[in-house]
This record gives sequence, structure tokens and C-alpha cells, in this order.
Amino acid sequence: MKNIRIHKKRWISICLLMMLFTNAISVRAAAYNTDTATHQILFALDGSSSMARDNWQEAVDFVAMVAAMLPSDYETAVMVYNEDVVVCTDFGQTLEGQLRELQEAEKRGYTNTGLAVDYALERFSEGILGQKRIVILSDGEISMKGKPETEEARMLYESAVADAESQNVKIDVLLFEAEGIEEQISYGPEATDGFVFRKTEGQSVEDFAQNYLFEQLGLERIMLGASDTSEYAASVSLQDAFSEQARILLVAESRIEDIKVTCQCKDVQITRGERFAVVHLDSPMEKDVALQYTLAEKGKVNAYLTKEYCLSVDMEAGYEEELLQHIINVRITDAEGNNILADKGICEKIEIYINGSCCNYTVEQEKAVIPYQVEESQEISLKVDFSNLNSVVFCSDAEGSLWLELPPPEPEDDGMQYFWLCVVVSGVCVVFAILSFLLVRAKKKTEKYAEVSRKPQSISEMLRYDFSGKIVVYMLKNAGGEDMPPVSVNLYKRESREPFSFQWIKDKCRIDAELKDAEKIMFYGGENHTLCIRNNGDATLFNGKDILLKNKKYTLNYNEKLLMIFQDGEIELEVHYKNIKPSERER
Amino acid sequence: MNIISQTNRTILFEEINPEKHNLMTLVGDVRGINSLSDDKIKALNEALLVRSFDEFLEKFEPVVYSFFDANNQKVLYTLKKPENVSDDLITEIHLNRQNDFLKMLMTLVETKRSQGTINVDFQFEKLTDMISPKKVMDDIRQNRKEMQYTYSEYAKLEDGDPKKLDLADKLNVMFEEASANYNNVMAMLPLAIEDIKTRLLLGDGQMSQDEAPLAIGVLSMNEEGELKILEAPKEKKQELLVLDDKANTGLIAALEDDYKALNEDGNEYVMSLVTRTFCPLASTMESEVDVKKEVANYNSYLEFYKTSKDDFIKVVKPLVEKILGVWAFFEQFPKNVKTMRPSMIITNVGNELLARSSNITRLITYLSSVNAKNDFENTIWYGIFPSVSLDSHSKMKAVRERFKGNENVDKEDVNSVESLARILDVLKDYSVQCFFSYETGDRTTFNAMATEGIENYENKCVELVGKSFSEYAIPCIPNFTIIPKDKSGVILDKRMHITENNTAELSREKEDIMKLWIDGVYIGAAYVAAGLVSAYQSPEYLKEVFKKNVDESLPGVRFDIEAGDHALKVRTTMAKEITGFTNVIKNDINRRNFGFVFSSENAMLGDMNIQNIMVYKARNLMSDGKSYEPIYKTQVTSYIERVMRHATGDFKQESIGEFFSNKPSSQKNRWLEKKDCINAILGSGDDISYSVDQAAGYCNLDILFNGNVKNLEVEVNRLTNEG
Repeated sequence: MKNIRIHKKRWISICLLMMLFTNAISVRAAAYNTDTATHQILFALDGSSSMARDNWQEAVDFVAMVAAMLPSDYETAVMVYNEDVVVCTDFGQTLEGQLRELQEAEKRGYTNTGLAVDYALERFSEGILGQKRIVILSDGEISMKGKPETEEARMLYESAVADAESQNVKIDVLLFEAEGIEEQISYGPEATDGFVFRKTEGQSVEDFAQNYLFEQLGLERIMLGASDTSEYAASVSLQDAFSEQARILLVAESRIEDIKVTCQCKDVQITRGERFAVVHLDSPMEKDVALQYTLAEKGKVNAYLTKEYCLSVDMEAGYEEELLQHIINVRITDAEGNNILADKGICEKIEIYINGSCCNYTVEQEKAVIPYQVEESQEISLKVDFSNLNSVVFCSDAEGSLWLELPPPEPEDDGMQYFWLCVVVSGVCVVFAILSFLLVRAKKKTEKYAEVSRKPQSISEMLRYDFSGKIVVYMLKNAGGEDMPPVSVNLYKRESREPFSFQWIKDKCRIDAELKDAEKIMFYGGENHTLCIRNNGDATLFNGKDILLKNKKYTLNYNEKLLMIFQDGEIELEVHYKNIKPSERER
Repeated sequence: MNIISQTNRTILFEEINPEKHNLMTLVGDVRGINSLSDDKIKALNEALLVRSFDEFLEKFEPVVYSFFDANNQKVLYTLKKPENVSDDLITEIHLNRQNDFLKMLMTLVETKRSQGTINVDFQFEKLTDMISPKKVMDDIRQNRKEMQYTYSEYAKLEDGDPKKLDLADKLNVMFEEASANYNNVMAMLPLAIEDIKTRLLLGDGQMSQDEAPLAIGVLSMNEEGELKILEAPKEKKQELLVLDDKANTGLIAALEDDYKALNEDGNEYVMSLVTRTFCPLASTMESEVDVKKEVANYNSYLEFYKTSKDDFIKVVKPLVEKILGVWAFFEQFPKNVKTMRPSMIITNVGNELLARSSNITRLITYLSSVNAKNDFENTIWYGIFPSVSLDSHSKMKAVRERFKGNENVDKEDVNSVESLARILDVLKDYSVQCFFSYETGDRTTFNAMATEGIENYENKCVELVGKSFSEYAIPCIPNFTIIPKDKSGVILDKRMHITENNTAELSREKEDIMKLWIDGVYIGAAYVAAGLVSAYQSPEYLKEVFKKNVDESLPGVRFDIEAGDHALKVRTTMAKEITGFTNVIKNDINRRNFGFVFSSENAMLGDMNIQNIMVYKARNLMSDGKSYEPIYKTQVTSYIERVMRHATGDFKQESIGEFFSNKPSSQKNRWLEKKDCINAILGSGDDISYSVDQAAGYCNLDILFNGNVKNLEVEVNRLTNEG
């Protein structure tokens, strides 16, 4: 920093001007353009005569369910092949059209899977940045009219697999195992890092489709529940009305008949198979959807929800002279311009990171407000994390950076007239301090007040050890006298491994009561599975009979507890730190 | 077994007597405290721990309070001592072995057991009759006979004779028992009812066909040999015959003196009633009988008695069911078996209160003190949580709702599922297996289950499955019926009316039959389940049952009651209730493998016909999606962990290796040597292996139960801590 000697009056004017106007650098980017697909999947169905009728129908159901559930950044195409390619749709064609092509295709002839793969490789668009996959649904046989032709077809498959590998296209296979048929195509997925599903008697193709969507492709979903009746008529909650797309998947043990949906939205499409249905809502405008269906027979139905959001993030920062800190404001809007932070449920799931650390924020006027202090002007990185929404989020500006400018300090007054005044004042302070010290000692009462250290805690120290175990919070006393159920917070499964404050626990436990300085009680992992605590605020913490000193690190072992007292005893909580069993870690 | 001397201490989550100490108040404030001192544990045991039913009655003194409401002219009963009512206006009715209601129920259970009759055939009315005034009088007649005989012997002896002093002691006891009735009008009511009947109806009040007044006569034969009954000479019609008996005169005088001494405000009517009751009728004095007044009194007494008995039973029934539950718990253990007698610690506090966030920390601290130590004398292994609400979504009262839910309907004497879940969440951390059963009633009986099956119960447990505490939750079904609802009517007596001839007669009208309904009495299945499982922890008990192949030093932690013929041999002491479940129901039970299920079946063990209820399934709520896990696996795992902790000095790494080594003296090998015993810790087909994760500092144990693996993880106590 330059030392510039500026005339006193001019300097004051500049300071005033800087105080009047806030430093703001706005980061704005265009919303995500969903017209450009990121991933493409081509479904290649074996239409030869060896594929039994049931297998064919199941294959079609698999394609229908997966294609209907894929998010908007996926494009699909379908192909039917035998010794030749019978039909192949273009990427981006409507699902309805694709399924119609499948149903109309004639099933006969021999099987030349290599030709199908070769053909499929040419169909992928240039410039696809994400995944390219070919899903083959077949009984695995490669056979032609004669032996030499069959051998040629096998060689063709081999070379097609090699081409796919070189072009970074993955091959997945859903194998309908049949007696007397030798499968010859499962090495394709092995070579291209794809998946093989072997469907035998008694397994349902819906299970494979779910596995493919949620486990292999990693599609985020929300479990809505299960029902066990032959008729269902109730409201399904979409949790909020900000999603761009919502898809409800019903997977049943028997055929789903007569499904009805009532919802305010731009469009509704229902895709049905033998034992599943997908209800696709385009831009739902309501939180709740009325759903009604009947089953051919009474049986279990599992329901899932997937959502897509198209969001845009605005960040800005301003300096508060009185508080000596910056205030960072983050605004998140959907495609319609609605502010999603207006919804409390969503707020709880969105995390904001500054320089890699998760920050607590309050929502004021539909913006996330984060007070932030810096020692010197600097650039900070900001990231909005939507992972807890368990949905697909398209947002190109979730990460950005802000410059935080500090006003320059008051110029040094080289006026000598103040020098002696400072000396006198300092002298008085020193005398006062000595007298206070002597007085306190004379009282024979030890009050444990440590100096509040201005030295910031070491972040690297906090991040050295990982979390384990869980904490359970018991509300011993609150203003209203109501009972609050004990709440368990699994630290082992906490997604972010960074230190957290008690404010985070308070929010997790949905404790409404105000807990002053909860954000100043920090927790982080310690060695040997301990939990470290550091309190910088006015809350009183006890471990056993010992009061915890301010800004000093303490460790909790398993089965130990902390007593926390807020608001001068108005609220008392006990926090128990416990180990968890291996089975709990797996959950 | 040297390390662990008992594996069957049980904690009962119920309130018996609010006036006595409870777990919460004895533990006290636990802020800043992780465990309790030995002195406190000792005090807790002294107040709350019982080892037999009689000790339970003695320590907890279950009592019902009664007082009279002058405004409503009613007797009011309550289980909580009324505040703002003076002690001398409150009567305490102790529910002990002398209480007629409790006595009747226990007699019923024992009779049914000895007869081996199922509910549909058993004559309940013969025993429920025990609480009718007639039976009360029968008991007193017996006492009266003894009193009269003893007094006559006493009167014969000279003063100073040592034998006279002995008889005097005996008489003092008898008078003391009789005096309990003196100024207790409620206790005198059944006596007064029977007394009036006796005086007005002469005998047992049998209805006569004609309404002519009774004339005593003698049988004679006239000159022609014709039989006739001629009227006996008598001077006054309404006087009862008097026989002079000096001994009885003395007894009457003694009773009168005793009554006057105890009752300054007594009256002639009651005094006469006492002497007539406690002396044989033939000895009583002459008296005028005002028929109209006596009939009015009789009907009034009968009405009052019926109403008060009704009210009494309504109030006392929940408490009686708890008492019977404790009784049934201890009944499962034979009296002649001495070692490892089950013991029970009773919280004596309502579960809705205990499960509150502010109070449950006390339970945690208590369990931490007894279950998280290497001293296992006070370790709690089982819990009993009865009367769970049938509403599977039932919540605790006055809990802050984060989201608006359904309206809660407050039902007395049932525990909410939420309180159960909270307590289970605590118990799991201390390896306490909790037997729970649903609220008693005709919906949770053997009969109900035989028609509806087990599906309802499984559905009700949905909220408890798939949780971290599911392994420690054991739903026990169905509940046991002591008196079925439809057979619980007790006929007290009939109203009286005056005939045209001014005589008294019992009414023949149906409406005049005074009947009260007990409305069914049941025992929660959790008590019996816990009692039986506690019983078979004792090696001596197993030896008694199986005779051979039982190791005397090992507890029955690995005993699988579902295996082989174990269920036939290790049976409850409760009598069969129904003919049995249908094959459809049994197949359903076998398919679901759900719960701790009792069965009332026809079964033979050798030549012996089994008359008792047996265990059909013994599963907790931990499920792998296909089946629920047997309870013994959890017990064995807890046992092994505790033994290992003790033997390895809190899981010292080097000691763990020794524990599992192949040396003959290693603990593992010592267990394996006894694998053929019925109470082996590791049976045939079982094994145990371990692996230590140095980096994480954990030791994983794989306990193999006949091919199925159960994991246990313990934190290793390393020699040096890595810095």
C-alpha cells in the first residue's frame, strides 16, 4: 500500500465520497441455455427374431422409463436393428415419436450388433461436452445366416467397440438372458467403462431402469414414499413452485391403470409402461399436484420425484462503516425472475461458501445477507452450493468472485499538539489498569475472563482432522416451556467437511428460539475422533463442572456432553457427542 | 460367568405409585454430570429394585385412594393422592394379596393354569363371584367360625394359663383383622347386605314359589301314617330363635367393647351389625325387624355398593394390570431355582414425562452409570415398555410442532409411540433390549390375532423399523387375557321388594339383577416375554428344563427359543387361551418372521399334553428387507462386547489378539469348547473373527451365527496416541 501524503482537506473529502458510495462489483451472467444438450444416449434395441415378445416389450418399457426421466440436458434417440438397421430416430425427437417408431418396427431376422454400434457412433452430434452412451438391449446373440457371416459380424462388433472406446462413447448393455443363447456382447461395456445388467427370470426391468437412472447416471431424486393400496388419490408435494421441470415416477408391482394428474403448469405428459408411469410437468406453478391412479391388482407402489431448476445468481458487496465490515448480498432467481430465497424450505438447503468456507446467512428482502470482515482489501471467491436440493440445477453463475475494498485509514496527524495529549492519556490508562488489577486480586475472587484474542484461528488447524460420530441435542429449558424432541445430527455423513458453527446445528435442528452468538461457537474435527470446540461469543458453555474459556480450544470425546446456556439462562441445551455404529454410517 | 454374574436385570417403564420415589427424582439434576456415584446407585436400588413380587408390593405399596363427595353422594377413587383433602378423609385401599379384586384375578390365573381350560370353556363367573358381597361374607363366616372356636377355648382356660396367653395372641390377631371393617362403612356394606338378606329371608334368600310367610315346623306322622309338617310352637313371629351359649355371650361382649373402643362416634346399628356378622347367627340377640326399612336399606346398600365397585374397578383396572404384569414377570421363574433370579428396576414415572427432552438426560446418565462400566452387577439388559398406543402416529403431549400434524386425542393410561421411540433411542446406546406391547383390550388378544392375523401389528411398527434402535425394539404380541370382556360380568345380587304379605323377597325381574362389568382384564405381553427371556438366562433354569447338555457357568444369552423343541420345553406359565391359530395365520407369521409372538396351540412333548402358552417367534425389529432378526443375536453381541471389554482392559490392542488367539486358554477357545451345550455362547456353526483397522483405530468383529454374520465394532485402545 502506497503512502501518499495528501492534503488533509482533500483527503477527508475523498473519504467522505468513498463512504457515501458503496464499492460494488456485480457479477452477472446469462441464465443456462437448455437448448444445448450436454449428453446424448442412443438406445439400440435388438429386433431380431430371437428376442422373445416379452423381452421386446420390457426393452421398450426400459427405454420409455429412462428417456422420460432424463433431465433436459440429455437427448435421446432410438434404433432398432437386426442384420441391418431397421429404424433410427434423430437425437432430440419427441419421446412419443421415438416410442411410436419402436412399436411400429418389425421384429425379425438375424442379429448384427456391430453394425448397430457402428451406425450409432455416426449419429452423435459434434461438440457434445458431456456423456455419449449407447445402450444395447438384446439377448446378447450375434448371429447371421451362415457361419462366415456370423464371424464377420463378431469382428465388426469388436472393431465398433474399439471405435467407441477411442471416441469416448460408453456402451451399456441390458442383457435378456435366455436359455440356449450364448451372449457375445458384454465385453463392450467392459472395454468402454459402461455397465452390464443381466436380466434373468423374476427380475423386473423397472428395477434396472431405476438403477441406471439413479445409480449409474447419478440422477438426483427425492423419495416421495410408498403406498400399498390398489387405488390412490392424494396430493403430492413438489416442495416449491420454482422448478422448471418436475417428474414423478411411479413404479408398481402390477399394471398401473387409469392415471390422472391435476396441476397448474405449462404442459403435462404422461408416459406409461407395464408397471410404471412418469408424469412430466413443465414449469409447475403450484407446490401440490393432485394424483390419482388405480392398479390392476393391489400391490406396492414406490414414488420418486426429480426436479430441474434453471437459476441465476447475482452477487454484490457493500461496506458498512459503522459495523466495520462488508455486507455481501446474494440474490437467486428462477427462469421467471422469482426469488427462490423467499421460500424458507429452499433457504435451508442452499449453502454459500466464501473462500471455501461455508457461511451463515440471513434472508432479508429475499436476499441472502452475509456479514464479512477482512483485514485488507482483497478478492474473495463466492460459491452457491445447490447440492442439498437433491435436484438438477442449471446455473452457470453459481461461482464468482467479488472485490472487497476497505476504505483507507485516517491519515496520520503530524500535529505535535496531540503528542503530549496521547502521552497523558496513555499514562492515565496504565495507572487505571494497574489499579484494576490490584482491585481484582484483592477481591480473592477468580473470574475467568481471558483476553479476546485478535489472532484469527488457524483454518488449517481446523481442517486437519475429519468429522466422525454424531451429536444429539437436548433442549433442557426454553422460554415457552414446550418440549422439543431430541435431534441427532450425523457429523460423519456431513457433506461439507469444513468447520461449522452452532448456528448450523440450530438450523438443522429447527430451533426457532433466538440463540445469541450461536454463530460464534465453532466445531471442527480433532484427532482420535474427538470434536473440537471454540467459543468466541457470550454464550456460556460447560463441560462437566468446568466453564469453557473464550476463544480457547476444547475437545469432546465420545459420550461426553456440553451444557450450553444462552440469553442468561433463558435457554439451556445439552449437546451429547456420540459414536455411531458401522450400520449407521452406511445409512 | 465370573465376569458377568447376571444377564437378566430388567427395567420397567411404568408408574406404580406416584407417592413413592421415582427414577427421575432419585437421579436428580444431571447437568454437568456424566455418571452417578456408587452411593446414588445403591440408593436407587434400594428404592426401585425388586427381586420378587412380594418385594414389589412391599416397596411400592400400590394403592388407590377413595374419598366421599357429599355433593354427588358418591365415592370417588383416584390413583393419585388428592391434594387439598385432609388425610383423615381419605381412605387408602392397598392393592396387595389381601385385596379381594387382586386376589380374585390371581386365583383365576392359577385355577385356569391348573385346569388347562381355554377361555371359551372356562367358567369365569365362578371366580369373578369372589368380589360379590356373598363371597365377602363367606370369607368372614370362615373367620367367624375360627374366632368363635378360639374364643370358646380361651374362655374355658383359667387366667394365668400359658396356653390362654397364646390363644389371646391369636384372638388379638383375629380381632385386629375384623376391626379393619368396623368404622369403614364401605367395608361394612357387603356385610350389611348379606346380613339383611339373612335376617329377612332366613337362609340364602332362595325365591319361594308362593309368597306366604315362612312358618317353621316339624315333620310328623299322624295316626293314619300320613306325613305332615306341623307348625312349631313359637311365641313371637318376628323374633329370631335364641340359643343360650355362655361362650358366645362373652364373644359378643368382647366385640361390642372393641367396637366402642375404636369408634367414639359409632352407632348402635353398626355395632349390632358387627356383632351379628362376627358371631354365629344362633347366638345373636332377639330383635325387632322393620321389614320395610330393612328392604329399603338393602336396596340402597346394594345400589351404592354396585356403583362404588364399578367406579373402583374402572379406576383401579390399569394399575391392577400393571401389578399383574409384574406378577406374571416373576411367575415365569420357578421358585425352586436359586441362581440368577430375575430382578426388576421400576422407573415409577410416567413415560410421557420421562421421555421429555429435559428429563431423558437423567435416564441417559443413569444408564451410563450402570451399563457403561466394567462392573456388570447393576447392568440393565432388558426393558419392558407396556401399553403402547394402537395409533402408530401417536405423539407425546405438549410437544412443539414444527409442522402442523393431526389432532392428538389424549388417551389415559397409554404410552405414545413417540415416547417409545425416544426411549428406544436412548436404550440402544446402552444395549438394552426393550420388550414392548400394545394397549390392552379386546383388539390385542389371542382371539383377535387368530382372526385378523399379524399384519396389523407389523403395520403399526412401521415407524420403528429401519431405525438405528430397531435392533433393540421387540414387539410382543398378543396380550394375555385374564378375564375376557364378554365374560367379565359379575352378578352382585338381586334387589328386594315387599310382598303383599309384608314379607321380603328377592326380585325376579331381570332389571333388578345388580350386575357390574369388569370390562376385561389383561396382561401386557411384554411382561411375560421379558419374564420368560429373563428366566432362561439362568443356567440353573435351563438345567432344570433340559436336564443335560447345560453348562452351569454360562448364561442363556445364545439360547434360541425358536430352535428345535426349545419352545415346547421353555414355556410360559400362562394357560392356553384359544384352540390355536389357523394354518393360514401361522404361515403368515412364518413368512413375515415378525415380532415376539406367543402361540396358544395344541402340542405334545413326548407323552405330555402342553397346556401352556408358548413362544412362536422371538424377533426384534431389525430387518434386512426379508426377515427380522432373532433377539438372541443382539444379546450375544452385547455379551461378547462386555466380556471382551473387561478381559482386554477396555479393548487394548495387544489384549484383543490374545482374546481371539488359538491358545486353549483364550476366551474364544473356551467358548468354542462348550459349543455343544444348549447355553453355549458360540454354538455349533458359530464362529467369531476380528480385524483391526489401525488407521481408523477400530476393531471389527464378525460374529457368525450359523452362516449369518453380525458385525460389531469397538474402538481400540492404542498404546500410543499418534500426534
